[in-house]
Amino acid sequence: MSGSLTRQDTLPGFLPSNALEYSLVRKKGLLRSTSVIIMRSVFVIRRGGSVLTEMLGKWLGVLWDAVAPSLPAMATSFLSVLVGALPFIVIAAFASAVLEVFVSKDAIARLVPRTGFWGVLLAPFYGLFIPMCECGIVPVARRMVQKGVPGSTAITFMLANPIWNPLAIYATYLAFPFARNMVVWRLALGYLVAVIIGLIIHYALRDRAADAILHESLTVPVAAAAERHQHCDCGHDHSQDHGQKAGLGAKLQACVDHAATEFFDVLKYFILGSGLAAISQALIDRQMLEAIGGGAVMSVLVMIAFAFVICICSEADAFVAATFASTFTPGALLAFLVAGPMTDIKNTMMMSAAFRKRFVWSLNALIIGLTALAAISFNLVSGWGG
Amino acid sequence: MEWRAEPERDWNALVRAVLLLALTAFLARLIITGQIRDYIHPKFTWFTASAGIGLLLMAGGQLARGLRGSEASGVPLRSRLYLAVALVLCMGFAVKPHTFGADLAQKQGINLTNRSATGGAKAPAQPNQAAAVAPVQTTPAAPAAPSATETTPSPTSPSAGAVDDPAKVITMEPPASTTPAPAPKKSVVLTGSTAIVTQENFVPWMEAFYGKPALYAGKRVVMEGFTFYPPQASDHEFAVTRLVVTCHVAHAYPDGLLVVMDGKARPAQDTWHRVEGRLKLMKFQGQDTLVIKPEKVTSISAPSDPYVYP
Repeated sequence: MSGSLTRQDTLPGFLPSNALEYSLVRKKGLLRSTSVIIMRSVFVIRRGGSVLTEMLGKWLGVLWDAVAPSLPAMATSFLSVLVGALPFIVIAAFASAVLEVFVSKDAIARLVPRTGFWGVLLAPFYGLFIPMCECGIVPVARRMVQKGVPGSTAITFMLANPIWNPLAIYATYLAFPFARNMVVWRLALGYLVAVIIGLIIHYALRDRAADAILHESLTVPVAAAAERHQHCDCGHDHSQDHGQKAGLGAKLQACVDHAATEFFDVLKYFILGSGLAAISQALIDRQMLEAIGGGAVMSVLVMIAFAFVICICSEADAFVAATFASTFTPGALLAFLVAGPMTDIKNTMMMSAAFRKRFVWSLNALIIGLTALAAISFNLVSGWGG
Repeated sequence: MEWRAEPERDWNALVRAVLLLALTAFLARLIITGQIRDYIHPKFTWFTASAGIGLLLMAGGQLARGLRGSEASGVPLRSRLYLAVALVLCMGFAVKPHTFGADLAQKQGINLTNRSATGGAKAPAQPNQAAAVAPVQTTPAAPAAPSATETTPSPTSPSAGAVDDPAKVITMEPPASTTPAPAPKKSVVLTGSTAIVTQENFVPWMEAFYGKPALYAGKRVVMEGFTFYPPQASDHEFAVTRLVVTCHVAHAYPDGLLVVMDGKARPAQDTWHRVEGRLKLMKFQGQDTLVIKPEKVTSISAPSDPYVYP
């Protein structure tokens, strides 16, 4: 009997004659509705999946259509940044290696002010004598912290150096013949933002700065790290300060090896950051920027975002900023000229290799927040509040 | 008999040595072929060469270490990093450099308004200003004494571009005045009343034109560049433009002069032209702007080096 239940058995209003039949019908009904639900779910998922795939394909198609014509330009743009930056990366790698191998912690302690406060106030001026671009400054700053320079001083130096260096100052002077005071404002705002951030690090972290900011892989005890070779694959024994006992030949070999290791560490993040920057540069529409970038506040925020995305070096950014002079507020131009050299996609990638991720994001937030605040205040005070 | 184990090779160091040598070869190729101008300002060539020496040193060190073996011999290969660098190198050797023109000018934007201390950035931003150029009543300042020889306007070409098609020559009214144009402070070619803007003197001339536009109003100018349509320009206006490279070509900025065609159709965008005409002060974006009223616009072939270097 149970096997002969028809489709009608489960129709509404039909009641089976006994409990067994009722149970069977109920089970069969449940089974059927469950299978229907599963089938429908599979259908919906498959349908949904295909819709999603279709949408994704469409988006990728749109993205490809936008990017494909720009590919040769993007490749050239990327390679030009790489070729231009390679010398700086090589110099930075050797500078970092020389610091590691030839300069002892004691020597550093004698050169740099012992108190973080004075170190922070003076750090921006080092750039006038040690000019480096933002591509090379990160490994040097990291090595400074490893060598015992207060974290606050090293970070202030890192942030201010791309602005407080003779090449960037001269480029800004050339780019703004109609507003020479832009040079002074850029230096002043760059100093202010870098020093405030340095002081925040100084007072917030004190002696814990090195441990709190250096990347986890760089803060393991030196001797232990040497045994495990986890912090560095330079191939040298780190259980003692490099070369304090070694001869000059061994020191030079160590220096070259360290430079190579440093070079590849930086290059990895540089390639990633520059690649992203080249894509962003190809996709950004200048007219859209100009359309949304009006007013004292919005213009500043748009220009900071623009600077973060396009990653222009501090020797060239002033010329780009100058082309926005008739459409953006002076505060927005200043924000572009100050925040851009301190942080962008490429720098963030490079900093992530040297410092803790949390610290890097906090640093970015501080740079953007303080620059925006200063630039908006500049706009409002100078009568650009409209 | 004492058995000594063969030292394990440091494969990371060996792969690095190969990549560093390839990077050096890439830079050397750019320098030797002169292709470096497609990527960066040529004044940085010696800097790039120094980087090549640094890379060679590193490669030598890594090769020695790799063959000798080191304490890091057991460290696994950083394959993703090496693959990324190898891909970049392949791109570097395979990609023919793209020549930027109006595409980059569009991205970077061009500043065609007065850049003197009293103009330009001092005026509030007015993004939606009317595009049309209107003549301005100005009294040109007395011209300074010419520093170069005074001769009749020279028809000579300012640089290397050759006329493509004589049929594409657009002729406007002939030159009238022979008053000499004052020379800017840097070395520029000044032939009688004509300012001949070349690749070498492009930046000083632009500084001079935009620094004291009234001083040059009424003078003749001969200039070559690619055509670029600024967003605010009307259908009869274009900018005769060059890209100025300060460090990387990717970050070059466009500079040039606005050309107002007086009712005639402007030439196609991103094509190279020689513009001969007279400078005139007109209103553009609400500001007094030095523009060229052309007498002749000639289509020319793109020069082998399209960029200018300050």
